[in-house]
Amino acid sequence: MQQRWSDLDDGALVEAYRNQAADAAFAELVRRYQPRLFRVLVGMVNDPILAEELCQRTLVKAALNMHQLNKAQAFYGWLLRVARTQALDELKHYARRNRDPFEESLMGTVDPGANHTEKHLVRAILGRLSPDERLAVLLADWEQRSTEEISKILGLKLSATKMRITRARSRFRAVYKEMMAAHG
Amino acid sequence: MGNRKKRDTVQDLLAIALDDANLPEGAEKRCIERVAVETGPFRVIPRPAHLRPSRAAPASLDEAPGQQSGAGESGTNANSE
Repeated sequence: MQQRWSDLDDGALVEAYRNQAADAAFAELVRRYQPRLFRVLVGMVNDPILAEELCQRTLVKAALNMHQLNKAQAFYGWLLRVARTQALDELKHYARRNRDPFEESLMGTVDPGANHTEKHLVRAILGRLSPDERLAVLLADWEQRSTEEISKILGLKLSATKMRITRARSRFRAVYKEMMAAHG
Repeated sequence: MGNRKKRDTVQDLLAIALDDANLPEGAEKRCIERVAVETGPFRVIPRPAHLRPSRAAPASLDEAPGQQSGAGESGTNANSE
């Protein structure tokens, strides 16, 4: 009977890729996680084309370094950690060139004639947070990851992670109120 | 900004920002193909800096063309690691 990759859990797929170089197993992991990863990365860089590129780089890096994954079941958390590094590197490149990937959204909120939407407004709020605050909010409130998982992804201690999430949420709400007040 | 969704929590706001952020068409195939190329047998592995051929001028004019001076090894097999 032909093996159905979609029936296997992450651990089995990771093992199949590691031990048998089964490309189909990795393809199943891509199918399973790329859409979720993409949304997190859109939240991080506010650009779907760049988010797709970062998704690809993340998954290539993951495939090349699969042997470093200790607990095969924790594949997606590990993937998010790789994605964080990719996104932060890219954002540093933007900063060096004095560019802001959230500029378009920010422009949309200050130009009353622009065809801005709530989506752009909320993305602009994300742009006002630091990259790690942004990621903390995305992981806690969009991905619904536990504080422990987030601490591993951000490379912080548990107490520092809790503080980062609380601060990021409170800043997010404050900027939202500020922007709503500015736009009536 | 009509037709506003409920936005009581950070979660609701993020849903407004990201609910329609779907992967572009063909993204899955592009990704799988790129992984295959970049992890496959013909991938180009960047050589560590200390193993790259030196760009310094030849130490002597007698040095044969193609010979490299300095610490680098000759670069015929870019894929070996």
